[in-house]
Amino acid sequence: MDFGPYLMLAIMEGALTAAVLALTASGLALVFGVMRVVNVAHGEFFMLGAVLAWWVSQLAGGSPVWGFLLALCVVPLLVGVLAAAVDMTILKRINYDPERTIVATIGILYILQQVTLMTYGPEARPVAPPFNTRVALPWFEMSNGALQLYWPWGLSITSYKLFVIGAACVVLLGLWALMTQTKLGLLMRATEQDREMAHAFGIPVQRVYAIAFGLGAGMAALAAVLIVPIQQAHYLMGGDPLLLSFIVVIIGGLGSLPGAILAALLIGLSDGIISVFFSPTLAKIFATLLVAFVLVFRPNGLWGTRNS
Amino acid sequence: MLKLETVSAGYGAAQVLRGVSFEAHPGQILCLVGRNGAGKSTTMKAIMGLLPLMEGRVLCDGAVLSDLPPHKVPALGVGYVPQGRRLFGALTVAENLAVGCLTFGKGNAALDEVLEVFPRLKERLAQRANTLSGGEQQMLAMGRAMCLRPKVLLLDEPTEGLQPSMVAAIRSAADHMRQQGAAVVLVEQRLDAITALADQVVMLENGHLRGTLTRSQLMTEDRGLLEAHLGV
Repeated sequence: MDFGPYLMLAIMEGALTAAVLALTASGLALVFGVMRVVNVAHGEFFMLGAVLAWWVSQLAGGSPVWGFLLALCVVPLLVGVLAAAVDMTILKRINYDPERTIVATIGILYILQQVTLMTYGPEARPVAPPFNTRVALPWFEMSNGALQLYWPWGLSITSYKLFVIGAACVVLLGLWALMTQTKLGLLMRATEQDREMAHAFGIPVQRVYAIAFGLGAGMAALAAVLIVPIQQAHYLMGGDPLLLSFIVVIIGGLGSLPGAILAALLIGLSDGIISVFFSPTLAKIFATLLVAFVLVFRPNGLWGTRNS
Repeated sequence: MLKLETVSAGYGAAQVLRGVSFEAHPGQILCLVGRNGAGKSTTMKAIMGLLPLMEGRVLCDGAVLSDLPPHKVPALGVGYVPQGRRLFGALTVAENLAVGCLTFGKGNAALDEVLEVFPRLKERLAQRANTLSGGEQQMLAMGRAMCLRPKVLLLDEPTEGLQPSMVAAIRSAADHMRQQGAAVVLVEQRLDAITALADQVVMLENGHLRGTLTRSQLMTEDRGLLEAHLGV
């Protein structure tokens, strides 16, 4: 394959990684932004989303489309409610103290992981994609002084991967609309700015925190439901999304939603391109080096503000 | 309307207020004076429920504010303009005003009234709060509290560091709230403002109540006593 089509293929794979990463990392950024809580258990909510998606698709039986659709609607909601309950029963009791919330979320990480191991088991299990046709992608070449489209052999992507990229864009637009156009978004942004003043203006801060924590975990679960037909559900699958989400949130600027999305694009695309042309390990080295440079030269992140 | 009964409060183990009692009446401005560290801002926070009381209670129209969680205090008609303004800086002027209006569903009528009192805010509705000038920020802080249509309005040094024209606008807004029937509690350090606005003066010293003055006393023999309690 020529360089051009090869690059196109790498970009499409990178876009898929970026889409899933943007969903997961925006959940983490939302929780940190509103609550100033570093949620170390975020990856386990992702894992729980994937495992529950497998469970729901098995329960639904029949056509994979119905199982997938049911999982897409139910699983983020279930994980969100569980996370809100965790917030109200654990984080609220330790008054959202920064150090103690880190320790508490590490504990939640192990509880979720081990309960999943005991109930779901150590196997990696696949979820059938609802549709999976191969879509050939066109490329162009100069012929007789004019641009001509052609269909290079091997330059293709599955329809499901395109759906994941599209769905992530829709969900992120929805999150943007929620934060900027609704009363709930306004209350969350006000709480993010000044918790004490939010109290003084009648905002039920504890409820806003529970909603933000649930929404953040729900975003991670949604990302997992979307990716589980491509990767298999496994009780240890939360580690990578957690690490990459932290990388993205640090590069984007702690607590900045637009920053998280732009950084997810940067990390996802570079991951795709470097993995295809060189090796996946080199892609991880690049991401880690980028974090180190950002921490040294722009500690507030590429798109963060001073108070973040 | 607003009543403090032997209120003691502080930060952690450090007690600041020691058994302070006073009452603010509707349609009057009560000026709270005292030197730095006397406990004026602590009193405001204690009324809002932002600090737990060590003893005593705070009542508004007979309801015990100090028994409520802090976010329920504004619903009983208590508006707060804190020292240093503490706006939601990354939110626009319109969004800052909306926080007060939306929370209690007071809607456009309250907003229109605020924009009538502070017409300059109308020109800045789409601007971020942290890009406003100091005076405009103070107008917004007052407007945000006025959106609650408060029965009790707490103003913590609202004219600190402002140019004279802005000071006049803020004082005029405080007077407007008094005329609307609100009980205004004003922390103020300037003698001219106190003598121009106060219906009652409460003096604090090291967290203790050192005395109260009525308007008539203020204009006559006890002015020297008041000057002794003003901040440095």
